[in-house]
Formats: sequence, structure tokens, C-alpha cells
Amino acid sequence: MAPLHTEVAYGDTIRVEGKLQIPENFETGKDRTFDYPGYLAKDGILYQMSFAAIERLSENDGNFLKAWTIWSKQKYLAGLARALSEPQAGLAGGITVGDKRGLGEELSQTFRTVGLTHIVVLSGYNIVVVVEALMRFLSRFPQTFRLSLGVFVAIFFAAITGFASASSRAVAMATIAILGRATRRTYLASRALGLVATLMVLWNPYVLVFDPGFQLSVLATTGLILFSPLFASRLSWLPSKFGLRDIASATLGTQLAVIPLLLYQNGQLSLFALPANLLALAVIPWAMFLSLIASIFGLISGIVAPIFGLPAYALLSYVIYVAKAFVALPFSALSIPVFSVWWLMFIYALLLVPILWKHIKG
Amino acid sequence: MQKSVKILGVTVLILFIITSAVWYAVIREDRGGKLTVSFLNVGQGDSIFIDAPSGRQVLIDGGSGRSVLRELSNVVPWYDRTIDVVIATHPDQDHIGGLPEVLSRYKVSLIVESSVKDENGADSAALEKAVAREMLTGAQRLVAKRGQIIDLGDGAYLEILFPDRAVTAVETNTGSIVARLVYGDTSFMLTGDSPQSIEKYLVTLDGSTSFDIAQDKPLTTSGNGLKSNILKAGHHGSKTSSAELFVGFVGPEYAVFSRGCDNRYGHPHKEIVSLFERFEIPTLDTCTEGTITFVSDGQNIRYSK
Repeated sequence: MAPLHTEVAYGDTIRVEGKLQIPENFETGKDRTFDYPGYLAKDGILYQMSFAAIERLSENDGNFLKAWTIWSKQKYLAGLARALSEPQAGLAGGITVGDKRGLGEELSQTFRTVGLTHIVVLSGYNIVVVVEALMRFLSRFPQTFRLSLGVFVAIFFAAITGFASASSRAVAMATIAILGRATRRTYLASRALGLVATLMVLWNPYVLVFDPGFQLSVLATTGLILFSPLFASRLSWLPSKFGLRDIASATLGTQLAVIPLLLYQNGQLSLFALPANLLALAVIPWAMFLSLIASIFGLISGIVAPIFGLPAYALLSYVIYVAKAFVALPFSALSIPVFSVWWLMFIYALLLVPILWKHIKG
Repeated sequence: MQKSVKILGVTVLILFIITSAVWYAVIREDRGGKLTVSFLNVGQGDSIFIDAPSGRQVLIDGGSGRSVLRELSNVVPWYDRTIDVVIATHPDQDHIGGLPEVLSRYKVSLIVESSVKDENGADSAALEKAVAREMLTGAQRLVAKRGQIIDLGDGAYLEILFPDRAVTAVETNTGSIVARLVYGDTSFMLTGDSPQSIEKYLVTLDGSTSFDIAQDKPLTTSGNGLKSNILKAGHHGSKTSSAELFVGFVGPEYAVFSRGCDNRYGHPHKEIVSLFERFEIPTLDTCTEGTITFVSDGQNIRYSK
């Protein structure tokens, strides 16, 4: 941990002097701790250093592709910063490239409490939105070109997050789906998920136990595949406008799958996750597109950029308003006392019963 | 719906939004002869935003990090990407840490600094870099010196009380810029992290003068050049600042502690809290109140929540 404004960039070779420490668990709520050493160990980090003094020895030693990815992400964020004010710019960075530093601790906590965090970290959802929009936009182009561009963009997005678990999983699954379409084979999401998750655990066994990003991402996708269809058939009374029905069944399915683990990890139950997601997710694809426009104008049009950023500003403000409105309601989050990991297993086993039942009957 | 009708509808909607935005800006830009001063809630640190009756804007210090950006969004409208003057009182992290980000996002015309330097500071180096970049787009740079008046238009101005000499070799807090913001009969005393020694020195310089530099006439209402309605308690309420003599000469209606909750320095110090209690000066605290805003019409100052 060095001072905020220490000038270090990717590709630098540095010499660091400071006090080495072994990372420690930290509390995530009443009687709950987060296994921080394990979380760091998954990336091969075993020590942390405080009071670090950094000396730069040389520059540009890194991988050219990585450097380019980081450069373009930073340019994009700089454009956002010029076109939008905070916290809108921070939210735009979160929903498009998973950069949530600008959001601030208070607003991040608000998004967590109402069950909207998944939109501000680059989860698979954002990548799917981008790839789908791209496919629609390029619908007249030859298929090989479209599909390979789709794979390229998906991998680019995963690279932006430093190949974090959730985005790697999404990209791998999207790639399998695209390959399936190209070779005219049937794509079964459940099998793709099984394959990708297995490979990821084989590649880095730590993610299975120590990476909440991996766990939540796999569970959410499982929920989307197994539970959402069950909800969808019972939601025909909801209007299908703005994709509300799909959002509702996707939210219910994923929430059902991740809630037990979230409760086990931090004990917070978001009571308004469904209405908050219905109201917010309906505008997210547009907010992402308009943020991109805002960033481009931010880079080229100087101090009048906010005018071109106005549409994005309006939608992003709306999303922030939704999150804040729900967090202000009484009982926006319930606290659940600590329970044993065996209960967690039991709950997941119970959740599988209706699925198995349906399977046997069908 | 026919396609032409749809296009017509969208066009009308866009024009409506643009018109509303323009009218919003017109109304927002009229200050109605009022000066607004906000002590921004940036945690442990200082950041003060001044919105002058003429529409000119001044930011004094920028807290320790990015939080100043979120706070600025609450006091600067969404379309406004300019701040006329940025003042860095002294190069400590809790005062200048957020300024490089401010300079990269807002177009600033004048940057005022103290001549005191923090040679090895990472924040100081980052600010230096950001200032150099800002000067490429036409920003002016000024080293603060006693006697300078920054005219904010329509009768509002900032007068620099300290440093009265080059302070390159002193400790950073001692080199803090001390400025007094004046509008009509109302004024604010803004002292950065100045220690008691400087406060007492200012009493010897300004305590007895009864001269208003800008108006070029004696002050009849206050009787001394330090008298102010609002005092930002120096150094976040540390006991190294707020000398009894100085606080007495300033004689404020309110004192403000700009500090973060649970800061590791124990600011504000209990001796300082009890000093203000003894003087029966009510205090406001950014930790408990959040951003603290005062509005002056030139005669009276109102504290608005």
C-alpha cells in the first residue's frame, strides 16, 4: 500500500521497500469473516506491504496486447469523466467496463444492499449485452466475420477485467455458443457451464473455495439455466414490454440460486432485489450504449461534452435514484445470524428437488 | 404508427428535452445576488467551494482523494465543466490529494498556491504534473502573497492574509494560505492548517487595523481586519490551531470543523471544542452534518441544511 498518487503503470519494473505482512481475515458483518489470505492466494499473492516506497527501474516491459487493453480502458474512462459528473461517471464505468472505483464506498454499499451489485462489476451480464447488441448491429455482414468479431470483443472485455472469474466464465460460454452457431451444432448452456466451470477449477483450484466472484457467477448462471424457465412460465401476466418479463424471470432465477451463498457469506438479505432489478435492468443496455457515446464525445469535444452526455446522465441518474429509493425503505436488508456450512449444503440440495422432480416426470 | 409520425414524435421529444435543459441552465445560473459557501464533506480533510454572486466559482483545497468529485457534483450543475479559481492552501495530502482529479475534469483559469513545498510528496508531485497540464490549456498560476485580492465580481472578493513572504523552507502547515472571503458586510475566515503562531502573528498584523483594502475605507462594522461571521477552525480542530486570541478577534457566529469521523488524530481536540463552548460560539461539523452550506446576501449569513 503506497500513497494514492504514486506513479506506477502496467509494464513498469519497480523496486519496493516497506514492511512485509501476512494478510489477515477481515470482518464482513456480525461474527462473519472473509478469508482474505485465501482470496489473495488464488492469484498467487501471499504477502502485503505497508509504508511502501516505490522506485521505478524501467518502463514498458509488459505484454503489448495487455498494455493496449489497459490503455484503451483508461482512455474510455477519461472520456466518461469529462462528459459526466460523479457518481454518474463512476456508474457508467461500472456497467460498461466493470470499473467501480468512482462509485465510492457509500453508493457501492447501496447497490449491494438492494441487490444491484452485479450490474456494476463486470459480470457476464454486461458482456452478453455488448455481444448481443454487436450481433444485431452486424446482422447484414457475413456470418464468419460477425462471429469472429463477437468472440474478439468478448475476449477484449474479459481482458479489461484482468480475466476475472465472472467475465472469463461468461466469455468462455459465449465463445462456445458462438462456435456452436458457426458449426450448426446444438448449444446446451448447462453443458457449456459444466465444462467451463470444470476447466476453470482445473486451471486454478483456488477459485472453487476462495473466489466469491467465481462461486456467485457459476451459481447465478445455474439459476438462470435451471430456475428461470420455471418462473417464466408463471409470469405470463407481466407485460413483455422493455423485456420486463425476461428480466423478472432472470432476476428470480439468479437470486434464488445466489441468495443462500450470499446469506452464508455476509448475512444480508435484500428484500427489494426484484423490484430494484426490474426498474434498473430495463434501462441498462441503453445506459451502456449512451455511456459509450458520452465517452467518445468526452474525448473529442472539450468542455461542451456534458451536453452530449446528457442522455447517459439522465439514465444513470435514474438507476442511482432507483437504488437510493429502495435502500431508504424500511427493511431494505434483513440480517441473518451465522449458520453452518451444512445448512448451506442442505438448502442447495432442497433447491434441486423441484428440478429433479421435473426431470423424472418429463 | 406511421414512420413519419414516429420520427416527428422523437424530434419533438428531443427538442423538448433540449429546451428544458436550456431553461434549467438559465434559472440555475442566476444567483439572485447571493454568495454560497459550502464546506464539502470529503472526510478527514478540507475542501471549500465558493459560488459567488457573479457566478464565479472558487475551490479551496480538494480533500484527500476522489470523494471531492462526488461532492462537487452536488454544488456544480451537470453541464458546468469550469471552475474559475482553485486554491491549494498547502501541499498536505488531506488538502491537495483530490486536486489532480479536479484539474483533469474541470477547466480551471487560475491556480493559487503557497510557496511552501513538500519535496518528496507523491501528492505534491501529482499536483505539480496536473497544474503543468492545465497550464497548457491556458490556466494561470499564482503564488499567494499577502495583499493580493482575488475579485469574484459583484462585490465579493478573497483577500490573502498569509503568507506575507516566501515560505519555501517552513513546515507545510505553517506555510498555509490564509484567506478571508468578503461579501458586503459578511465574511468568512479560511485558515487551512495554520498553526497558532501564525494566527497570533495575524492578530498583530490585522487585529487593530480597521481598514477595508478593497473599498479603500475604514471598516465601521467590525473594528478589526480579522472579524468574520464564519471561521473554519484551523487544522480540522487540532489543538495546534485556534489560538484563543485569534478566535476572539475573529469573533465568529459559527465555527466549522472540516474533518472525518473516527480520524486517527482525534480531531477536533476537546480543548478546542471547549474553547468554542466557552466563547459561546456554536460549531458545525462535517462528520455529523455532512456538507455545510452558508448563504450570504451581503448583509446576513444563513446556515442552510
